[in-house]
Amino acid sequence: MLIMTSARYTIMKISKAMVLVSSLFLCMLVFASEVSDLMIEEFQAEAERPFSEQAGMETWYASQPDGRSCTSCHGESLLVRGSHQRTGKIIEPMAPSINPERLTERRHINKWFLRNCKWTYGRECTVQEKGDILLWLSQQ
Amino acid sequence: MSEQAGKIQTSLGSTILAAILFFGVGGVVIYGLEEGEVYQPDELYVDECGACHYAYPPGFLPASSWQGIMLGLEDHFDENAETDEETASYISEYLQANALTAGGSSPWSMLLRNLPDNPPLRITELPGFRQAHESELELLDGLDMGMEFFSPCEDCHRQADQGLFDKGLLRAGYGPAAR
Repeated sequence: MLIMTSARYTIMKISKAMVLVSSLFLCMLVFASEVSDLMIEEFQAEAERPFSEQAGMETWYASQPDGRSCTSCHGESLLVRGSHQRTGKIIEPMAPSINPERLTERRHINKWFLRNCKWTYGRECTVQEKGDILLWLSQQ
Repeated sequence: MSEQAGKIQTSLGSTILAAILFFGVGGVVIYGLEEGEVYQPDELYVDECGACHYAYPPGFLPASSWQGIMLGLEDHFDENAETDEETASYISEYLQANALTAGGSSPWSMLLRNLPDNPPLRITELPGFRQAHESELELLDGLDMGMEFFSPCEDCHRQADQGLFDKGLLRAGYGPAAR
């Protein structure tokens, strides 16, 4: 037998508010990690071949004739910190499993592709390369 | 008022006064800043320009030098520091607004000394900088180390991120081992 007292009414209202806030928060959490998924989807629409983690990993580790590669700054493992090859500035781990902030901001991802592909390859990465790398990184 | 109440009032008042003097005076001495003066660089600037090296205070270079840097982001001292147009525009404006200017009040106005008509892009090449680091330069000359030794300000100026470069806040030591 439910008698609605003012106390119960308040509790009901607060509970509903908490449920609403929690679900909004959960949505944010889910959405944050989907930034890279969304970008992979968008890249795939423009790319020639389906993306492959294997190709992404190989591109990441490949050394250029002048010795430059992604590992020059990020180090040999995505799970630990790297350091800038020239300034020594610490670079936080790339693996999203270790560093949840990775791959959550579109602008960030695009900026570092621009800067780092140009430094490593002397040109921008192709959509194929970006997709392969992004797919591989998102699984680490 | 009873004698006892009077005594309590006096000791309480003295304690409060002492506390004010201690924290008030101590505050000024410890931080060495003018009251209300806090170094607060733009967050986006620090994010964009402080990812690979210390985010140098805008007041360290004159406007023309910053302009030169922003125009050459693709070859930023042999690195690529490009960013999207919107961000570059925002940062350019910020740098221009806060650049080293004659007549402006800044804790780093010594960097204006003997500034040439065509100022360098590197902070370490400013005559004012070299003058401020004269003894260090003499020391390094013997060790044959390039000016890049001075690029990471924060290696010796441990509170550089707070805009504090006082001699009293120096720490000797350089390189990865000192981090």
